[in-house]
Amino acid sequence: MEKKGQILAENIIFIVLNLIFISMLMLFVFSKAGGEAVLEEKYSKQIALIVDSAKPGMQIFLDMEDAIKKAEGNGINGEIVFIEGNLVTVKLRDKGQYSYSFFNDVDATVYIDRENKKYVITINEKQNE
Amino acid sequence: MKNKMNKKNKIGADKIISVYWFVILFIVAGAIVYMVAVFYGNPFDVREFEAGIMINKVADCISENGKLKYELTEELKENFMDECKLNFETEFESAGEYYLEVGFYEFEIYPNNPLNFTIVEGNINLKNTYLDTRGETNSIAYSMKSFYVLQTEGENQNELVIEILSIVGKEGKNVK
Repeated sequence: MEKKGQILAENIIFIVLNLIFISMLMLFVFSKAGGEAVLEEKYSKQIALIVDSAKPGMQIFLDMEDAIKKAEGNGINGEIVFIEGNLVTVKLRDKGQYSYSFFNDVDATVYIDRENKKYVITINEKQNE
Repeated sequence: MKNKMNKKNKIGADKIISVYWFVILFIVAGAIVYMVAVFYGNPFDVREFEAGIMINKVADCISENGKLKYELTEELKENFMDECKLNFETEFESAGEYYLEVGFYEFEIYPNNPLNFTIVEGNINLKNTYLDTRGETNSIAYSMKSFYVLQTEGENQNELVIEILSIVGKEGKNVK
């Protein structure tokens, strides 16, 4: 009887260890996939491509809930996307940001719609200075 | 006696199996960590999309409903960037990260170019890299498209083929 109990305990420990191992691996993969640096690069390139293919008069709504949550977690509660000249910058952490340029010569502006966790990109004709 | 020996052997074999099991676990974990690190360590390469978008933008700019919108003059060459709302300035310090070439050909004898009218903008070094490597390099990404248009000159209509080549550098931001 004692022997059977021992076998059961061994199996349970083995299964628990396996579960811990798999969950640690999953945690690593998800933390890498949803890391600030990856999201910054993803969104800055995505916004640059959106602006490149947009035409004046367009308004684009971009769902950035995951990025906004990450930024709030890092204590950044203001804007996280900036467009200066033809450069898109996304900043989700204190130390670091990612910028990518676009070639479409338009006046692109962005603002956050906090209620819907979306970014609104407005494309206008560039005014001659 | 024999039973005792069998028991001892079984315990020894179990221990060896569990050691191998942990070795396998570590190998699997190492492989997954390595693959994930390599995948997310490399930047997303979006240059081909950029090149494609640029071609579509230029095609929309110079033609409408299958007809050429502009007269092929030197003025068009000079004002092409303004007319098509293009800006090739980038955050990179090098000479330029884009190259654009728009060639106009007579439909009947395409790909020969008796029109001798080509619009060239951007960094010519990217074109040289493209010619040297035939595009088989990571340092550039390119896209090329051609399409048919009608050129109206008074009552005459010429059939043309427009060939657009777009090359994007931006190696630092897209290739590790």
